[in-house]
Parts: sequence; structure tokens; C-alpha cells
Amino acid sequence: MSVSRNGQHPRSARNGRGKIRPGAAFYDLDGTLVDLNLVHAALFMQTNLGEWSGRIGYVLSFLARAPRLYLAERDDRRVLNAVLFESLKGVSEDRLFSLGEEYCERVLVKHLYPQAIQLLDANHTHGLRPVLVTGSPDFIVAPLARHLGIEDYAANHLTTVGGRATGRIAEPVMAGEAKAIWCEQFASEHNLDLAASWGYADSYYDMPFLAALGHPVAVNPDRRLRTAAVSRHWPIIHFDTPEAFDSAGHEFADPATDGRPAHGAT
Amino acid sequence: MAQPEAKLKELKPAELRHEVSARRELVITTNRRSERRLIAYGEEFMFEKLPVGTRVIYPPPPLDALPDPDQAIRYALLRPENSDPLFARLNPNMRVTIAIDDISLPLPPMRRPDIRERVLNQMLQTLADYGVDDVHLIIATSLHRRMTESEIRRAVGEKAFKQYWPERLYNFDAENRAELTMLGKTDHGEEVWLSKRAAESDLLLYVNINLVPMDGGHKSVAVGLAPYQSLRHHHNAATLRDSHSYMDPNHSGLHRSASRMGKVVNQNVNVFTVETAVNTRMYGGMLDFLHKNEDQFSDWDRTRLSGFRWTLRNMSNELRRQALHQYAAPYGMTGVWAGETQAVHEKALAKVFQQYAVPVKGQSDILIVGVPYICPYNVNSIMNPVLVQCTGLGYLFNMYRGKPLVRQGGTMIVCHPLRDEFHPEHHPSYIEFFHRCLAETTEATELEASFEREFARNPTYIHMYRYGHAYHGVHPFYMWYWGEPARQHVGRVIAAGCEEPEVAARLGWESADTLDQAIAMATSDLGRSATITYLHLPPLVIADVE
Repeated sequence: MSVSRNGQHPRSARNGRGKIRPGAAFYDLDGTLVDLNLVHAALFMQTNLGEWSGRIGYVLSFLARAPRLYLAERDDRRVLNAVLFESLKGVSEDRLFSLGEEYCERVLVKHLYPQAIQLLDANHTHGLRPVLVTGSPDFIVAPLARHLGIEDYAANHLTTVGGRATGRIAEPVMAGEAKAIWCEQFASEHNLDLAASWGYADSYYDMPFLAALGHPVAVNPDRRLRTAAVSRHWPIIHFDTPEAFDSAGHEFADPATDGRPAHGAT
Repeated sequence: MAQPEAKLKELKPAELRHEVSARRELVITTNRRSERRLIAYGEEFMFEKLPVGTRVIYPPPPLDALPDPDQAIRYALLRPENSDPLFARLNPNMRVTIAIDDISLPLPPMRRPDIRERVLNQMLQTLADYGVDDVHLIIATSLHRRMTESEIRRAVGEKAFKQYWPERLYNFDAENRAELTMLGKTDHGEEVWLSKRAAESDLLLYVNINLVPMDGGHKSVAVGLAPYQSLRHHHNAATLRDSHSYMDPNHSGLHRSASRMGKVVNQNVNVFTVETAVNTRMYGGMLDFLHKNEDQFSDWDRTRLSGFRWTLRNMSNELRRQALHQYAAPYGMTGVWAGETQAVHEKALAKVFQQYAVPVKGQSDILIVGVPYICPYNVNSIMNPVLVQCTGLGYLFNMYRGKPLVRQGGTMIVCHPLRDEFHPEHHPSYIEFFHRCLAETTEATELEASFEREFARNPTYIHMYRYGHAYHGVHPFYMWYWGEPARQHVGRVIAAGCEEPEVAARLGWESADTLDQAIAMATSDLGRSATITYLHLPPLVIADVE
């Protein structure tokens, strides 16, 4: 009654030399690992630039862009990224990176989902190389990646001229299909198997990114991503329900011992 | 006052209630004048004419429910089997843990008050009367999904819920290493792991519901409060192949292993078991015709059946599923026993067999079963193809003692639409299992060797099990192994009414658009002399095959 369809070991792809290629875990950032989004980061930047008079100017300029931001969020994540950071035109690169450090330390780290960090660590222990793939700017992502112990990330980069931001994002803008293309290139360069890789994202705009990976997971999905995940049979996971997490112990069973706890009478 | 005609017809089966040997009339053979038969078909029902000469096995009528269940529970706690009464085992300084069966029992979930609520109320009152304060209530989920807050509230009742939730009433977590301990090994080398809280308690109380004979006994504690490290010793292809059947604990490798482990548990932990049994009153009121022999349908029964089928057919999938899962069964408690695990279980088993057993002569070439909308692992969820396989080959094939209803090399016809549908929060690892692992092989031992450990240790699945409401990553493997005795025994499985033939093919089954077509396929190589048996559900029946 049983059918063996393929004699080859199916767990991981093999490269030309017959070695099993490992997978990676690709994480979106905003709304996936942290309960904040790009708008919050942009507002933080603008309210912490210059003196009070300057800050008011930045905020007013931001508010003036609100309708465009709304439309961009609805229609095109690339445009949203571009509109959000165009008001940073003229800010020095050094200042951006120091503000990024500050934002990471004062805000972002406190808004990481504890469940997400636990899963990230567990995946790492399990042998999945952690990679951040996000539309956030690199001056925010770099310190966060250091904090999380992640070596590899893809983030947006503001172009500079003479050490000052032009307000434009360097191509390719890390959103939608660009994330998927970057993952494919990264996997190819590092001899990783995308089919054995996991992807975690929260937004419908991340569909191409998730679809490029063998194991897509919808995290705290918005309505549209949830619908797509259900129809595509993607697992749905929630980091934004702290009740169960708070009431449970947080140690994973050790994979090295086949999940056996290290203690216990024998 | 004259009895309605339908009521008079019911009197005869009523006389048979307590006589298993007198149940031969529950096995009928169809003729040309026989009525069509109702067959469970996922979230709908088929109503099909079966070939002349088909043997139909009906479940026995429900046993009488205990007139005063609370009094019966009180009596059981005061007069336990091979044990001092519960109150005599208590002292104010002791640590007590009460473990209870999870949402997989009974099916469908029973009307309130749930048996668990009744037993807990009396247990907790006794504990309070004797000054025992250190009490935890653990839902014995093992690797099943965590029950939601509302599901727990419904099972344990308001009183216990308000007093204990969430600090002292919670789901078991098989992946919380700080809360697991190893008690030892059986003489077969099986590691016995258990909830640390339960293991370190001065008294462990277990509240069980026996829906079928495979429930209860040592399986309750040794499985319900155990992690993967223990379960892998009996939830594997080799052990389950050695089970003939799951419903006959004396001939089940699974139960032998669980018993060995349970004995290690009982050597280390002070266990006091409460087992209960329910009757077969699964559907009542407007749906009571589902229990009847179709030849005895009244006009009112036919009208209700037509209305019921029309309603189900015309509802959206989502609404139909919600409506069906909201139905609560009017089960009646037929017995309650307390005390030492084995002594209690023997009494409970006798009552369960008294309810379900029907003597049947000989095997047949073809067995027809209808897979309903619910099984132990999809309460408030979706019956995905792996669960259809488990219900058809795992549970319904095993509804026998002695010999299977279908002969070696025979054909099983499983009625279900078999759609490629999964619940992404309850069954995430099932999705990968179905689309990736079964695409490679349906051979249980190969699946076990190639994939099981990977799924069992997968961080995302573990995370979803611990903090979401997902079944453990390894669970779909167990569901597959569950069908292993049937896969070893039958020659063909045909999915009748299959809407997605590629799903059937993935399971290693053939598919047919209709039941008639499936029967024609099954008889094509056997000829018109092929014998056919239809196991009529609901409710449930166990065939004592001679």
C-alpha cells in the first residue's frame, strides 16, 4: 500500500559536490520582529534632528506628506519607503548613523517581541543562518543586527553626496520583489538552499519574499496576508499574543540531546 | 395514550440494551426493497443505495445514563477500587495535581455540564474540605494543541475556571524542559518522562472520559502528561503495526507499551484515577434520526434528513464548519469509577464494550466507512487529508475485536470529499508533511527515518505548539503511523466522492467520483460475489468479528 516516490534524501538540496546545502532563516523586521513600523522610525529621526525650531519644521513637513504616505502604504511599499525618508535630505551620514544607534538602543530593542527573539535563537541553534531582510534604513538595521548577533542583513540605503543624504533611497529599494531577488542572490553567493530556508514576514507586500522561500511563515499577518496564507497553506504564527509566552517557561529542549532536558532523575 | 408508530418500532432495540449477545439484529443485510443508507461524508452526508446483500452494522442503542451522575461520582470517590477513599489520602500540607483529558474527548464535545466539570467540582470540594491548598490543574494535552481559554472554561466549568485559571489551571507543555522529568525506564528500555509538577506531587489525580476502549488506563497519565521523548517509544510504525486493534487493549502494542510506562509512573507517583464512560447518545433532538436504521425511518425522519442535507449543502464552507463544530452532544454518563489505575480501567472497559460491542460473523471483501466532519484532532478546526487518513484507516478500520471487518488484501472505501485544506494555525506541520514528505514516500518507516526527528525538533513548529494553538511538529507522523495496521492489511483504499483526486493519490489511495463508482472499482477484480460491509456511523460501534 505504501508508495516510495523518490529514493533521494529529500531534506536538503545537494550541491554539485554532493554536500547538503544548509538553509537560512530570513526575517522581515517591522511588525515581524518588532511591534513598530517604518513610520515610527521616520518620526523619531525627524523629531530628534536639529533644534526645536528645526524639529517643528521636520514634523510639519512630515505631516504634509501624510496623504501621500497613506496612499503609498495602500498601493506601493516602495513609494512609502521613498516618501518616508525624503525629508532626511541634507542630514549628514554621521548624524543618521548616530541617530540610528540611539533609536535602536532607546526604542527598538524595547519593542522586540520576546517570542521572536526566542524563535530567532532557536532557529540559529538549529543551524539556520539568521538574515534580516527589511525596508528599514541601514543606519537603523546595522545596530539592531549587532544587538541580535546577526551578521547578514539587507536594508535600504540613503544615497549621499558629500557626506549628506540626498533624501533618495539607493536602488534596488528593498521592498516586494526586490527582497525575493536579494534572497536568491544571497543564497547563491553563500551556497544556501532556499528550499530549506524559512522566511518570516507580516505584510501582504512581503508575499514575493515569502514565496521565494521553501518555508514561508506569516507572522502577525495583516488581513490580506492572512487570507493569502490560508489559501497558500502557509503557517500563521503570532508573536503579538504575550499571554501564553508570559505564563510558560522559556527554555527550549536541547536539540543536541534529542530534546531531552539536561536534568531529571534517571 | 397510543404510542406513535415510530416509538413502537424503537421498543425492540430498547429491549436489547444490556445484552451484547442479543445484538445480532443490529447487523442487517440489504435487499432490493431496502432504503438508502446514510453515510458520513465530511461536513455533509451521503444518502446512497447500497448493493443488494451488503451487510450493514448498526451501533447499539445508548445504555441508560446514570440518573444522578453527581451522586455516582461522590460514591466512586468514597468507595474506590483497590484504594482508600480520596479524603483518606489527603492532608493539608500536600501538593496535589489534577490532570484532565483535553478537547479530543468526547466527540463531539458534550453538552454542559461536561463530565470533567462534575468530577472536578467534587474533587476540588473534597480537597478544600481537607485543607489542601497547593492544587494545580493541568490539561493533559501531550503533543496536542493547547486548548483555548474558552475551551478550557467550557470543559472545567465556571467554578474551577474562576478559582484556578490561569496560574493554577493550564495546558501541559511538552517542550518546557524545566517542567519535565524522567522517572526511569521500562524493562523494554522505554524512557518514561513526565510533567515535573505531576511527578513531584504527593498525589496525582487523573480525570478521564472513555469514549472508546482505546482511551484511559495507563495511557492517560503516561501519554497525556508526557513529551516526545516518551511518546516515540510507542507512537511509531513498528509498535502500531503490532496493534490488533487499538480498540482491543489486550492485543495492542500501543497499549502494552503505555501500560509498561504507566507502571513505572505508578511506582514513582501516587496516582488516583477517575474514569468515566458515556453512552452513544451522540445526536439528539432534531438530529436523532442519525442513529436510526433507515428502513425504520418515519416520514418525519425523512423530512428532517432532507432538510438537514439541504441546509448543509447550501451553507458556505466556513458557516457549515462553524455550525457543525458548535453542536454539543447530549451524552449521558453510564459509569464512574475511581482508585487504582488498572482496577478502575478494567471496570470502565467492561462498560464501554457493553455499550459498543456488536457480534459479527466473518470478514468481508470490501469495507465501506464514512469519515465524518470531526475526529479527535480537529475540534473547532479543519479535517485535513492526513486526518481523513487517520480517521478512516486509523480509527474506523480499527473498530473491531478479533479480526478486521475487511479481509487481508481486501478493499476499503472511504467516503470523504478529500480537499486540500489545512488549518494554518492548528496544523502547520501537517501542511509540510502532506506537501513535502508524502510527495516523497507514503512508507511509514521511511517517513519515520527521514523526517520525524526534523519535524519534532523544528523550532517554528515547537514555537507554534508552545505559544500558539498548533499540534506538535511530529503529530502528523503519528497520524500517519496510526493508519499503518490498515495499510499493512488492505490491498486497496478508494476515496468515494473524492473532489480532488490528486489528494487521494498523495495518500496512496485511488479515487472515485461517487460511491457507486467506488464499489464498481472494488468489485471489478473480485466479481459480483464480493462481500460488502458498511459500518454505519454515527454514533460508534465495535464489531466483535468471529
